[in-house]
Amino acid sequence: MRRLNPAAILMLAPTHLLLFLVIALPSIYVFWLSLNESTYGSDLTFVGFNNYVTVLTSPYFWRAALNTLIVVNAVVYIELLIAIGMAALFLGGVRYPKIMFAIVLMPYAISEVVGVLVWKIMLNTGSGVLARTIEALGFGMFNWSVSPPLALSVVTLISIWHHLPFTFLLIYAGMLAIPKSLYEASRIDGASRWQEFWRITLPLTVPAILISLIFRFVFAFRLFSEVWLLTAGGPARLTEVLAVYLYQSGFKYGEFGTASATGWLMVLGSLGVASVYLWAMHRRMVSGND
Amino acid sequence: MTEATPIVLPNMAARRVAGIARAIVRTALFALIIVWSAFPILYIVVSSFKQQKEIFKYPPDIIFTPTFEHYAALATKWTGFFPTMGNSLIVAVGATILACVASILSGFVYSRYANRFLAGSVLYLIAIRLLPPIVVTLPLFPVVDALKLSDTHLVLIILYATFWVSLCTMIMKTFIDKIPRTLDEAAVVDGATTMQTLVRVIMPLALQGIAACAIFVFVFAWNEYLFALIFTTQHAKTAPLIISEVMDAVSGTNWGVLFAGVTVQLLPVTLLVMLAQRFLIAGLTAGSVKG
Amino acid sequence: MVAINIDRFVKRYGSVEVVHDISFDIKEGEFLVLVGPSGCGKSTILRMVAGLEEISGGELRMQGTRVNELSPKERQVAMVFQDYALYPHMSVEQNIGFSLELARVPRTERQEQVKRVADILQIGHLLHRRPRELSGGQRQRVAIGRAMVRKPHLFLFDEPLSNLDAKLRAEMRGQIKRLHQSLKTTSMYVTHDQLEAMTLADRIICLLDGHIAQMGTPHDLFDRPANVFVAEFIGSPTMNIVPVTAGAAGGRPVLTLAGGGQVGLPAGMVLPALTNGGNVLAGIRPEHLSDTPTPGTTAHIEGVIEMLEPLGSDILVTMQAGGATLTARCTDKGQFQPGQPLTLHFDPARLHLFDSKTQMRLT
Repeated sequence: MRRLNPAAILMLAPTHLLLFLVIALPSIYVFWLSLNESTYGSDLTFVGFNNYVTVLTSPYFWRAALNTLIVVNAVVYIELLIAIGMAALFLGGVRYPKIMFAIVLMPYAISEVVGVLVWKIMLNTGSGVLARTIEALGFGMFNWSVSPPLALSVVTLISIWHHLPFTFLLIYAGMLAIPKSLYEASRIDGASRWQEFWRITLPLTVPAILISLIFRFVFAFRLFSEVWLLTAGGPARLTEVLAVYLYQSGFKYGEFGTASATGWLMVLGSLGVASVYLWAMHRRMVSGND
Repeated sequence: MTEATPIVLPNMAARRVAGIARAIVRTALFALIIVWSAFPILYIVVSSFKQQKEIFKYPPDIIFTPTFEHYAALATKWTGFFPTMGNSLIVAVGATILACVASILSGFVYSRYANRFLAGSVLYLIAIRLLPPIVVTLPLFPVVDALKLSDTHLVLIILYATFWVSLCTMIMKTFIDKIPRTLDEAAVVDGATTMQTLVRVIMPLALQGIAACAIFVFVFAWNEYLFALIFTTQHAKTAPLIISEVMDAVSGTNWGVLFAGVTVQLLPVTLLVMLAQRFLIAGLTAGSVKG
Repeated sequence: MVAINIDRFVKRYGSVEVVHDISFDIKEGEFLVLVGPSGCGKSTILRMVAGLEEISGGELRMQGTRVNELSPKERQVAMVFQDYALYPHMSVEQNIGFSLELARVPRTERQEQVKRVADILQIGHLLHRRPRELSGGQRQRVAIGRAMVRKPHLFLFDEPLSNLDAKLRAEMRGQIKRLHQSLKTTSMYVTHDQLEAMTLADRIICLLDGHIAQMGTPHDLFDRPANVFVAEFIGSPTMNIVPVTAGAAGGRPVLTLAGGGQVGLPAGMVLPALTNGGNVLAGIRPEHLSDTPTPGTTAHIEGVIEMLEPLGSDILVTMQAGGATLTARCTDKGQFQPGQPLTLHFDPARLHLFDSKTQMRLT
């Protein structure tokens, strides 16, 4: 290990300049913005915590917060369960693994815009191939555009579709890291496949599960494109999530103050969620339970 | 020690039936995964080769005579499309180069140097990723405007690179950590400068990590929507943005041409991801281990 | 009584065959060691017996019943793994008791059993620790405990001592030997270390490239190696093997070395039927060469000391003799100097002769 010297500091500069100027400094400035009234971030007038009052008394904010909470939890946990199941399936042996992984990875390569486009067309009421199949199966008209719960379900579906490859790979890599001899030992000890999964695979995948939970909560909190492109928050702002609410107040109504206040609340919320899992992970490390 | 219980032969027929049932269920699940992952994408790609009136036919034709008319019409009927593809390419390549260069340099320092600032700033690198990107668009918006950077490639390149440079630094650090330090020392003994050590010894051995970073950034930049929506209006508009505009157009969307454009947009990067899965998986594990 | 029959075992990975038509039996209570260099197929055979590898060809019988299709659980085998394979998320107690738990043994009985085993292995005070809080030797004991707690038909050991340092290895070797003497459970033990094989085994199977090179008691393998491979593999330092031409001169057998040097053998000695015009490989163990004659050492060979390797009370003396290099293990009284002439005496009965083409022992 070498001591830091001027050459090394110069090598760190690009990364840290980018991070500082584009993320760290602006996120502090957001706090200042949130204490002011402004038009698109200029002509600031100090208003104290007024913006927070505005946001916290806005029914639209609470609606967006509730929607975010529901969608984020649905996305994260459903995705996690599917990913664990899929990883266990893959762990049991895959024929043509390269091709299977390539196929599983496909949604990761797709733009959110295209993802929304595809699902929107397939689920388009009355004409989409999936919507009509649902109707043909006797479930009635699949009219998500007038039903906020259905619309948010579609958002959840699209979000899971996009991010499942990522979560799956994290979990699968975690399972793959379990030494093969532990499975052999458990077979010698007389474990059935089912017992093997519950007693060996799952407990030893917990660190990977925690990591992917943190990742996914943080990313899911940012949820914007799926909602914006699918419903734009409608009907009647009933399907807004926090990022959409922020975008509306900031870039549609030009109220950067309330938007910034929302931003800070989002940061706090996302930190809160992440810290729960970071704490769980820390506790496992301390108790030597990894 | 007491005697072991005698060997009991299990019901082999039942076991065979259970084995077959298991194989069937597994195959069905794999089939389901394939359909779930590939069907939406194939649906668009296949539809782009259908006649306009066949696209929304229900049930859809599996077998049809492919037409290339929508692809031929891309350049004439959707004049905005190819310029935005060009913008996407410039922005994605630019962001990839910027993020990779910055993270190779910093990843090397994080791997090879020790110092209290470095140890502390690792946490900072992790924590900064928790910040929702939309939050920083607010303070950046007036600044970008004032610097006359609005609607330029540069602003997107910088934004995209910045949002990946912290993860890429950790990925590069993990990969460089695996290269024995004695190789650096051998290079120094051979008379190499720090920069020569990095370029001639470290980088060739960390190619897998560089590839992983490059793919992550490229895919992200190629597909990104939010920043493009906020910071570009015309000249630097990227492909996802124009696709979203066309799909939301109230009337007169030419679906065939849209699908053809989407296919052109998604095919290269999908193939890239499918072919480079090895690097993606390696990079993902490297990046996640460090939080 | 035969406990296990291994009948014409074959293992193939795709088109590559790594175990070729191997058959042997293990008697009830016997400690059988499979030994050989890496890649000889010894671990594969063990894992086929365990039920961890599919048996590509042949049959495995336990108590006369074919068990090829049975799971390890149904075969009732216990195994000690090379890397111990302790469950990192379970305590020592849970690790040892896991198989009992899976077999639905009631909790109190389980604890008793674990305690009993732990006391035998002197790890009773570690029961609540996690594997990673244990030293290598302690982990090894836990791994053995896990196998012992059950009443298996067969103990399987897959190079269990290879991750320990030399001192611990000797200690654990003793422990395993004592355990087997008290438990008398049929055991199959795989190692690449010939010393482990010699000290532990009732019977050794020496493997090379998926074939049995020789099977027998440790004494058989040491005193009458069936071929050059076994001769060189068993025993340390390695047996001297020298190409010679066997003939007769003056009414007694003579071995001529490549460099022209000659070793006369006693007049009454009858050489085995020679092949290849008398071109054979002669072998003698270093401990059977001595710098001082004794009543049995009726033959000798002369040369010049090339190198000395003191071992403490003994010394390895390497000598050049007529184009051949020979190592002898002698008592070190400071009497040797490199470059000095030396005469080494040996008992002709200790001489091993091998066919130079087939490498097989001549009898």
